[in-house]
Amino acid sequence: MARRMMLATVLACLSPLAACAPTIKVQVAPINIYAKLDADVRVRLDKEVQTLIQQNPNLF
Amino acid sequence: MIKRQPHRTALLAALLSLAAAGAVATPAGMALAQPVAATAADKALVDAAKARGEVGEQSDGYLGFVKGSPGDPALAAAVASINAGRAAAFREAAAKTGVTAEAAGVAAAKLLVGRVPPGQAYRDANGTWVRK
Repeated sequence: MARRMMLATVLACLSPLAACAPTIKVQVAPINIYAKLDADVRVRLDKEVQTLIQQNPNLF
Repeated sequence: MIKRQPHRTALLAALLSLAAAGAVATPAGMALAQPVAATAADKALVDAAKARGEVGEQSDGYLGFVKGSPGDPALAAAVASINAGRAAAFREAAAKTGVTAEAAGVAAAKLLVGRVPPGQAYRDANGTWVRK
């Protein structure tokens, strides 16, 4: 009896976890991806992007 | 029957590993040389919509609709075409600097949002549309 109740309790505790587990995603905002770049990479990227904007007047 | 089963399993494993190899190989081969060409007409439609406050620059480097999807299919197509072109351009800049396309988009957004004239809207990092 006690064992069965314990089993039920364990199952009851596990089921919400099981239900949620697949939906947990680690999402890093793009702004943080950019902020975490090394300073020299950021400088090069900024230059690259500036050229990109100037050379593609139909896109930007 | 019992003798054949290992063969079948081996065949299945071989097929699966082939499929996995294919899935890994595909993205590398998908790089586009030339992005979808957005035209000056697309740009003109978007600029007019920006002036009306319907379209704006987002913090991810792409264009977005301030008030949800537009009624005008030509405008929707113009925004989609420009965003596709930008995606390709960001991928290119990202590849040159060894970062992700998302990071390149954010770098572009910094400049693009800075250029937004007073009265027009842009979308900040929280997803809120702000009028300059």
